[in-house]
Order: sequence, then structure tokens, then C-alpha cells
Amino acid sequence: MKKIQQYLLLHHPLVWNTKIVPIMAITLAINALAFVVGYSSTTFESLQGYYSYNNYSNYPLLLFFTVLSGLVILVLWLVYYARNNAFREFYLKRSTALYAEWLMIFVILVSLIITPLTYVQGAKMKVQTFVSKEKVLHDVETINMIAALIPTDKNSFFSEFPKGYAKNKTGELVKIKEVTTEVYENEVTLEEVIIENDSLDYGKNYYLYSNEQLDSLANQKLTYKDFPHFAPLSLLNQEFDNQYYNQISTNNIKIRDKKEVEKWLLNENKEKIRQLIDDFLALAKKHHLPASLTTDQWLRLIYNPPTYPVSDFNLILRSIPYGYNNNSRYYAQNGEPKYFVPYEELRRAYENILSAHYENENSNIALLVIVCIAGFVSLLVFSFRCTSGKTWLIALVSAVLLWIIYGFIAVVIALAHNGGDRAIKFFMLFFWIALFVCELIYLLSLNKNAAAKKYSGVVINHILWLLPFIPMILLGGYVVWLNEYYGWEDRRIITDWIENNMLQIVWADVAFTFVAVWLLLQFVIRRWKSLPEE
Amino acid sequence: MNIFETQYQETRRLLEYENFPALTKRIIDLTLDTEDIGFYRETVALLDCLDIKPTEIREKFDAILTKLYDFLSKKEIREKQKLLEVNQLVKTYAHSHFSLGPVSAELYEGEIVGLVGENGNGKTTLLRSLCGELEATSGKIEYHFDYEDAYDLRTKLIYIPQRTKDWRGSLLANLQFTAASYDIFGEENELLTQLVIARMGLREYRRLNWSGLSSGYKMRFELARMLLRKPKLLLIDEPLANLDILAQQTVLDDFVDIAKSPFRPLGIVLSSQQLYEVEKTSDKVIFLKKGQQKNHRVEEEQTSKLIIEFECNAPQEQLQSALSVIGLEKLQLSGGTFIAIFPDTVTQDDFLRIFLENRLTLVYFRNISNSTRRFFL
Repeated sequence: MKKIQQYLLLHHPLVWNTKIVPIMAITLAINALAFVVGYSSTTFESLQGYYSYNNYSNYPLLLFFTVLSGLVILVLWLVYYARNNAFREFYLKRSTALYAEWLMIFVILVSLIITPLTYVQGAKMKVQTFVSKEKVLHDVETINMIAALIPTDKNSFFSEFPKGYAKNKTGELVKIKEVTTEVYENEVTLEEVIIENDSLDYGKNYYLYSNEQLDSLANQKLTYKDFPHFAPLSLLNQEFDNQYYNQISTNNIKIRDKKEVEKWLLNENKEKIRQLIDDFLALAKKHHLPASLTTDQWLRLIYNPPTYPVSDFNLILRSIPYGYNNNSRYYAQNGEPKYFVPYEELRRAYENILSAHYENENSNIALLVIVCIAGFVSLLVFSFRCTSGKTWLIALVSAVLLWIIYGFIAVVIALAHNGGDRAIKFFMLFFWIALFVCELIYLLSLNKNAAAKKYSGVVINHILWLLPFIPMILLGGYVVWLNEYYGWEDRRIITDWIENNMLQIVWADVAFTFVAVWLLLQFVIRRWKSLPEE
Repeated sequence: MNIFETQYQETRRLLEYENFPALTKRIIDLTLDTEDIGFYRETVALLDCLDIKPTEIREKFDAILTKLYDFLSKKEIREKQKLLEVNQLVKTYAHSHFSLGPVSAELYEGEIVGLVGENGNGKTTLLRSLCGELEATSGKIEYHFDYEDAYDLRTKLIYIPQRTKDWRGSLLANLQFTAASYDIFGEENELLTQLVIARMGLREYRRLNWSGLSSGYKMRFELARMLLRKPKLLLIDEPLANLDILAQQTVLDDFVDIAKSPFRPLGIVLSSQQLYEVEKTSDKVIFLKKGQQKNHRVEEEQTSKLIIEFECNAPQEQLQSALSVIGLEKLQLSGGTFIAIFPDTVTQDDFLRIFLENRLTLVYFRNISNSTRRFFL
């Protein structure tokens, strides 16, 4: 490393000065370690728990380590970096060199705080090896559909009326679900909606009823002549929620769900149901997960056409019992179902696997957060380089004071307008924009008149710190103005677009910051540096 | 004979007198003048050779001097350009009664301007104004050389304050960083920093840390860094402070050699309390008293009095009596030293003759008729 640094000193002084090579070597090693740990510590068993592999809040120790190591390395780096400052000493320094220096600071900071993402990427890569992308959708479909055939409790399968019907005042059943077409941005979608009518009886909410209460209700033998498949406690009564809603809707994936199984049950398609159960149990076996049922046993329990009743005899636990040992026999206790299948374990595991193959949103968001934090901190460091430690500290204190003043004025405005929303919102946005504009004008006039710097170093710091927030503040102001002066229908398209493209908007803000810093260096900061001190 | 020829002959004489330390410095100066990496290599090799004290040292010096002469005699010597013009410069501070100016001056390449005055009379203010650190309240400073923009101008004006900032890290690395920042890369960088370090007599100290240096050597490292930056103008505040008498003379000789290079001349403005040393070295002297410019010594300026500063063990009455023979106007005693003022018809020889005739022991004397010392009376 000494030889590399010596070479850089003699050939690339800027790269030597920023110490980017040794720092990147350290952070690369840390990130490589994080990647390896993420990869090796991720097992199929770990995916079965109640957390996602890519949920960063699940790794408090990792986050703590990242913050601690990041801070230590940051401080060490700053000590060595601060040893030489060509800009402060008025060495030859073109705008491009200054910009390159800022970019290097940014890259260093990204490498310091990207460790959690690297860890998760390691975990993600491991997760992707458990099931290939080509096979995962088939497995997910199996898990999605099998839920229709696992009656765990009676409450979820109890209904007073056939699904999609309610009773009117004359005691007749009327349909309450209808399919509507929705047109949004030239796209037509079908949506099933429930008709709401106060005169209809939709049935009680039986979720809090005990098994005995439900049995008693079921024994009243509720039947309807036009509905031969209906029974109060039946597989056909469950709601069809898609288990993998987020990933499927986000990626426009089409897979079958419990509705398909309902059709098979109604059509008494035993072979397909048998095949589904076979596939599910094969999946469990593949991942070494135990089940206390064979295909035939399971079929006997649930395949009872035409009503497919649910009762104590065919309740099945959806997850492996706590403390169950693979080699032991399962004995139900205290009224628990007599049988179990590893549905929940497979569902959670495949949620992670599907997410690893199809979902990048979490990683994209994490990367964006890292870029934003690194960008802001890099501006803090760079403003220190351009000015001085004393000026930077004064800028920090004055910024805190400005926040206090801002808060005070906001309170006064709120009191003066009886808590008026509009005044507060516009003030909150206007204050920072006005500050930025005033400070920029002040700097430009100093440069134009070649006047003494005096305390304008404080302004340089403020400008650089505020810069990344300006586009978002302006956008916020625009949204507030829309909300204040336009009705919902008129502004919906714009606000919906903003909401749906927030990630892209923030990336655009990042791009703006990169361009704005270049312009500031080219036209303002370098000229400002040459001004007399007093 | 042009200036290079004159300097070359002086250097040759150093070889004849075997004044090898001074000769080494001059050879380094000439090497730097070549701006040629081949010569850098040869001179560094010579320096490495000197470290092990070879036997044929004289021949080695002779050989390299001859090569340098052959190379540099073909190099064009530009006419000295005006660097700086100060016109009625005034600087006032918002929260102080002090005011500098009006000051007017000119500086050419190869010139040394001495800035003298009591403490708190504006020397540092003037230096900082010239380097762009202070904004003039009125008046004008014009820089007569090329620069791209205001920042580029400031890179060509180097101000070394009395108390310099600490250097962090290795001293050699600091110098190499400076050279590399000025587009001197690779082997040329290594050679140039070696030469500059040797030129300032810092070879033994280059591996030390800043805190391990005396203030005199710190100032030399600052000068070494200045050489690498190739400025147009060097402004240096009290460079002789904290130096012993020998070191002061060495540094002043260095200033002369650096400033008056035929091929890489620069202008130097230096402030100091060491009046005589500065006057000996400077081409012009600016005296500041309470911010006002008192004189600007040029060859044409003459005073109308003969003023002699001297030390003698004889009592004042005896001296008064003896010197009144040649028309003594005033005799004052200040800090153990006498100042005698005569009309301009009296010469220095007349003064000395009195002491010889009266057998008075003259311990020390100096003719300060044209020295800024007279403004301290």
C-alpha cells in the first residue's frame, strides 16, 4: 500500500490526498466480509422465520457494526485527509479537480455506509440459489393454491350465507358482489366490489366465536335450495386473498390462486386436487420439512363433495408444531388439530425467495437512502474543505439557530392564524427557499464586486448543505399549492404520478445535486476563494 | 557580459576558493534554471556523491559546471518585467484606528524590496494587501503578469507569514505533494524535491516531523515549498526572526540568489527588524511609520546630512568637543550608541580622522545617512 500511495503522490496527487485507495481497500474488505457473512449465514431455515431477509431492521447488530465501523474509519480518514488541502493553500486547482475531489469524497462515504446493503445482497444471492427463477413461480403457485385445502380453524371457514350473497328483508338471498371495470390511464382493470346496502343482512362477524358456538350454528343446518354446495362450515366459504400480493402485483406476474382450487372443488376435479397436494408435499420433502399427512390421508380429510365440510375431524395445523422433532411422532394436544403441514414455513420462505428473484424495490430504496446520506455528508465534508474548521462550526451553530428561529416563527404564524394549515405550510417551504436564494445572491454579489469575504464562508457552507433539499422543497410547495387551490379530481393525476414515481423523483434530485455542485464550483466557489479575507 | 555570465564567473571563483557548500547551492540554482530532467539527475547524483565525501570532488564540480554553462549560455535571458505597481494604496480596518497608506511602489522581476518599520506600523498589512488577502480601502494594486482569473492570480502570489501553519505528515511528502499539484510528476518530482531540499540545506531534516524542527528550519521548508510553486511574487514576513546571525546572512544570500536568477527571476518583498541586513540585500526599502510610507530608497535619493552611528568609550563631553571641530550639529546617546549628525560637507573620512587625531578608541561605526535607521531617531 505504501508503494501504491507513493506512486499516487508522484503521479496523481489528488487521488493520494483523498486517500481513496487505502480507504476503499478497507471498505472493500469490510463489504466483502459482509457479503460473505450474508451469503453463508442465510439458510433455508432462516427464511422460514417471521422476517424478510431484506428487511434492514432485522439486523440491529449489523446496523450497529456498520455505524460504529463507519464512524471509526470516517474519523481516521478525515484525520489523514485533512493533512493537505491544496485549495486552501492556493495551489493550482482547476474546477474539474475540485469536482473530482468531491466525487471521491462521495464514493468513500458510500463505501463506508453500504455494508448493510452488501450483507443483504449476499443473503439475496444465497436465497436465489435455493430455487431457480424458472422454478420459483411454479412452487409459489402451489403454495398459493394449497391454502384453500388447509382448514386450520373453523372461524375462517364459517359463513351464514353462500359467498357473495346477503339476505334481504324478505329473507331472500341477493348477490352482493359484482365485477366493475376501472379505467385508469388508458388501462382497463376488472375489480370485484361488494355492494353496500343498509337494508341487507350481510351476516355477523363470526371471528370471535368459539368452536362450540360455530358447531352449534352449523348444526342448525342452514341450507339454501339454489346452493347445493353450501354448508355453514365449508372449504368453499374462505376468502381468496392472494398470499403473495405485493410481489405479484408489482411484477405483473400471473399465477393461479385459491379461486382456481374452488373451481376444482365445485367441479369435483379430484385428480387436480390430488396433484396439487402431491406437488405441495414434494416441495416440503425437497426442503426437508416434515408433514404428518400423506396425499391419501389429506384427500380423505378434505375431499368430501359436494359441501366439503370443515369440522374437528379434518382440521390441519398450518405450521410445524413448536418443538417438533423430525424423528418423533406428532401428538395433538389440548384441542389442537390432529395433523400438520409445513404451509407457513414454506409460504414465508418462498415469500423471501420470490422477493429475491423479482423484487428490487427494497434494494433500490436502500441504495437511494445510502446515496442520499452519503451525498449530504459528502457536502458537509467538502464545505469544510472549501472553507475552514472555524467557519464550518460557525455555520453549524448558525444553522441550528436558524432552525430555532424558523420553529419560533412557525409557532407565531400558527397562533396568529388559529393553527391555519395553509399559512404554516407555505411558510415552512418559503423560509428555506428564501434563505437559499438570499444567500446565493449575496455570494454572487460578493464575487461580482470582488469584495472581502468576511463571514461569507458561513454562507458557502449553508448553500452546499441546503442544495440537495431545494428540489424536494419546491416539489412540496407545488403539491401544497395544488392541494390548496385545486379539487381532488383536477389534481389527482399529478399527485398520483408524484406518489407513484417518488423513487425516480428522488433520483432526479440526486442528479440535480451533482449538476448543481459542478455549477457552484465552476462559477461561484473558486471565484469566492480568491476574494480578500477582510 | 550578461547577468548569467557574471553569475557564472562568481560561481567559478567559489570553485577556485573551494567554497564547496556555497558552490553546491549555486550549482543547484543553475540546475533548476535548466528545467531539464537530465541535469536534475546529474546534480542529484552529485549530491549523493557528496554525502559519501569522494576524493575527486573538485573534478566533479568542474565537470557539471561546464555542462551547465554550455546548456544555459544558449538559453534566452528575458528582460526583467514589471511585476507589480502599487498606487496610493490605503487600507483601514473597521474596528481599529490604524490606517495604512497611502503607499506607492513598483516591483520588477529580480528585485528585492525591504519593508522596515517599528512593530504595529503596517508592514504585515502591506504584505497581506499585496498578496490579495486584504481588500484595499482605496488606491490600486496592479499585477503586470498573465493570469487566468482571480484564483489563478493568488496561486502566483505566495505569502509566508511570521507564524506559519503546521505541516502534517511527512515533510518530504508535503513537498512532493506541492510539486505534483503544480504538474511536476514522477521522476522529475522526486529529483526536483531532492534538489530543493538540498538547496535550502535540509537534506538531514527531510525525514523529521514538523514539530521536531526549529523555527528557522520551518521557514526554510516554507521557502523550499515556495521554490516548487514557482511564484511570480514572494511576500515574506519577518523571515530573519528567530535566526542566528549566520543563518540570517545565509537566508538573505538565498533570497538574492533566488530572486536574481537570470532565467527564473521573481520579486521578493520582505519585512524585517534587521535594518542593516535588509538594506544590504534589498534593491529598494520602504519604511513605514504609523502606516505612512516615509521613504522609498532609490539610487537617486540622497540625504542632506552625514549621520554616523558609533560606539566609543570616551565620555560624551569629550566626543562633543572633538567632533565639533568638523561641524558637529547634534550628538545623541541612545542605548549605548552615539548618533552624530553633520552637514553634508563633512565626509566619513573627516569623521574617522578626528578619532585618529584624538586617539579615541572607536569600537564600532556605521554611516546611516542613507539608511532607514535614521528614521528611528
